[in-house]
Amino acid sequence: MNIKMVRFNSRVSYTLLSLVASFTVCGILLLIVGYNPLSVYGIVAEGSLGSSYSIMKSLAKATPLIFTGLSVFFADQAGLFNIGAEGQLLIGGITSGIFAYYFSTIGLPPFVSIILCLTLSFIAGAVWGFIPGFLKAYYGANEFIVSMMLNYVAQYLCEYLVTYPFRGPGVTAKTNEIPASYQLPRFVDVSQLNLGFVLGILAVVAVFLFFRYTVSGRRIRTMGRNNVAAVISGVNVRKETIIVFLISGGIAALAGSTEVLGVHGFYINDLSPGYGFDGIAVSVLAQGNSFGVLIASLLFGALRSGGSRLDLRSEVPSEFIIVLQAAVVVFIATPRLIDMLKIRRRGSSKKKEAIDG
Amino acid sequence: MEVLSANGISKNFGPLWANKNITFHVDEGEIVSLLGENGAGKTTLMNILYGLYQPTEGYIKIRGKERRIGSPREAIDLGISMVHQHFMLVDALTVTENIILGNEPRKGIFTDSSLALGKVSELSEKYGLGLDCNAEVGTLSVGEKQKVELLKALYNDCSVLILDEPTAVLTPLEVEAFFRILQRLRENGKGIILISHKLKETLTIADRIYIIRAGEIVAETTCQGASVESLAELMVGHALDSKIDRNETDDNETVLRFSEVSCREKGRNVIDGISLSVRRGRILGIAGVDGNGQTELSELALGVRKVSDGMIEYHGRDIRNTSVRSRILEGIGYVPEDRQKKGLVNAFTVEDNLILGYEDDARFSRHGIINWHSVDSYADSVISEYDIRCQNRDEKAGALSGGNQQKIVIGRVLEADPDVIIASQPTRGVDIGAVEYIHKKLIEMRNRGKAIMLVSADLDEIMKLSDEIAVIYDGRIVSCAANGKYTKTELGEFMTGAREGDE
Repeated sequence: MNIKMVRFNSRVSYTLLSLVASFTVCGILLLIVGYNPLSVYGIVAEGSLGSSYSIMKSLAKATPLIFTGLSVFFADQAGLFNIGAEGQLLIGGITSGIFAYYFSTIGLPPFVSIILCLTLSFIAGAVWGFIPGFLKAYYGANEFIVSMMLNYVAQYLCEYLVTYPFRGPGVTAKTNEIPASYQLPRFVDVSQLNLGFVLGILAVVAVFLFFRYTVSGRRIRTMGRNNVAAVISGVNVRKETIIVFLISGGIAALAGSTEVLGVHGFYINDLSPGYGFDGIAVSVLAQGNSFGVLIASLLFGALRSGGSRLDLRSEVPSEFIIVLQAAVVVFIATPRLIDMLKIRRRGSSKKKEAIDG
Repeated sequence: MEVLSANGISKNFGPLWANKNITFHVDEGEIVSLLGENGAGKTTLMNILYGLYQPTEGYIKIRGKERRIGSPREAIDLGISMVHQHFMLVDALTVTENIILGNEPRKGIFTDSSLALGKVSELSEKYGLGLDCNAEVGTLSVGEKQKVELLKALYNDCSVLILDEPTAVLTPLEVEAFFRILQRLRENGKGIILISHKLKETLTIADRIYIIRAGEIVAETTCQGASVESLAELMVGHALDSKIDRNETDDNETVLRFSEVSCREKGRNVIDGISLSVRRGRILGIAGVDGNGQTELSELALGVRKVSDGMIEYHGRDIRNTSVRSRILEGIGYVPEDRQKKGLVNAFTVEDNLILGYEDDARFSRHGIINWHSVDSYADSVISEYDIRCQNRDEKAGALSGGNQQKIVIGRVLEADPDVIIASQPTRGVDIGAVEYIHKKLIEMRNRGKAIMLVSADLDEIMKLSDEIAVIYDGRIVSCAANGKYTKTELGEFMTGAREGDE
């Protein structure tokens, strides 16, 4: 059999097994606490896939995760950790909130305004990403810590901006409402699903093509897999580190931008219930595959949308979904755990080492 | 008396037979060598003896009794110890601590350190290892670390010792010392299985030699009546054509010139005023013990390190401030000394690795977009041209044997048609077939007018290939002369700093 096939299959089967394992473990957890796991999963499934409305809701919930997941994934390909997607999202969100309203007041055509807002958000997120990238490249700072701490800076900065200078009318602190025509169009009125989802898919495709077909993409991946070999083969690691963080930050910002332009119509405190952090989980689940980001986002989006039903229809709090997501990440991140669960199939995995001699 | 024997051992992985009906034995006080190319099945066999794999067919006898070896632990309990090619030591611990790790003598709940120290130093003395048992392993040289590994095996009170390519990392002097220790072990009745592809060494030390090819033992011979040539033929399966004609040209223009180059790092000159000329149609050999500035010199030429003083010219042009990328594309080809760390991305496919560093080349991409169609056909042609043994171009490079990995690196560089080739330890850890092949290629490149700088710690290699030999010691060139002016011993003296000032 084609070697590529074998590897693809084993990776997919690992991931599927991890999912089954985490659902099982969480099911047992539910049993212990005294709930019927089948009925709980039933509610979640119905809430996420049961009707065309719930399917659209799942896709809508998946949209920001596609962007934040892709952002973390992008940095991960270079061997870098961007834990700052959450902050970059907020920065992108407030940029769109401010500018979309402003553009509507000066009468810019809606289409132009939307494009400009997306672009400006991307740039703002890129600037936010530049900070850890630059500090890493030139001062050896730990990008993990810097990008994470910048989340707090972003959070409080945005909170200030929306509470004072750009506060719109009303009791809650939010920016001025963006006129409907200046928002990302929705597919149907009743659902929050909007054009942002399509943009997310396009972004996934773009990232896939970038890594597959461009010289820069190759170099970034080389850097992620073997930094020393990358240097020897002529990769300017400093420059690429900064570029990666610019792009990664920009992509994460689009999550905020599409939420503001497509879902809320304004920027509000607590815009994100942790989409940036879920992006890390999405990236882990994606297993190094751009399209894996899409699939993982859809899964998490579905869980979130189905999970919100739990509060209405059962005694189980919707936070159970977070437990389930965490279990998925734990199982994915520890393949040995699956190895232990898996009945050892002789040969297939060890064959290669042996041929070496 | 026979201590260990393998009887009709076969092992398959799916349709692939890594070992076929292998039968051999080792006696007390005997050194048996298993000689074979990389990929011949030596490692699989050792892993079976060491309990990591179970044979598909056949059985192992220890002291005449059939035994099943289920794990390394069981192997050790049965008196089989193994010294791996890659050391498994903890740098922060002392020699003694490393050796007793996992097997500590106890006094109540505490480790009985004095007893341990006593036992370990007694062993060290007995076999003439001369180790300071209180030294931290991190401070030891490679040769000493190897002795620690050896001591670890002896501490387990083994009767059979398996050594996997033990001399790969040693200098010529260390090899000699190492062999004296092996002889001492032999006198003490240990059965030693030596896995190697180095013919000369095998002939020096082994009592009996088994030649293993494509998973089968193809010959058993004693050292008497065997020669390097005959063994090599048996190993590879056909006669080796080691004679390579050199042609001489008048056009020996300097392509790469170092003038008084120094490189300062951490307050110390790692390269100290080196002047060298790498010329067209010539091979300049740089001999030296590892760590005397060879890596730095090569990386200065490539641009990974910066020149602190002096000048590097390529085709008469100052290249001190050009990027690595531009130097690669302008024809400086580099074969790094450590292919695993510097030359390859193991997680990438063979194909990916074949364009590593050359992605920008017009052969593979235009305007930054890679044309996979042409890369595919290029990769296939290099794989067949350089006889890179892999399932296909999409196999991960990390899954290949050392020799085949090296062929990827060499093929990648040579196919780019560089003007100057910097080959650093190009045959280290590579089997004899590949060594011959790489040597031939280098000479061929020389004859085609390439300028070659060959950096190697292997004096045989240097003397076989070079037109000129420069010896590097402590960041300086201590001797530079035409090949043939100095004997191997004299070059060895230059290399260790025992002789100097003859430039």
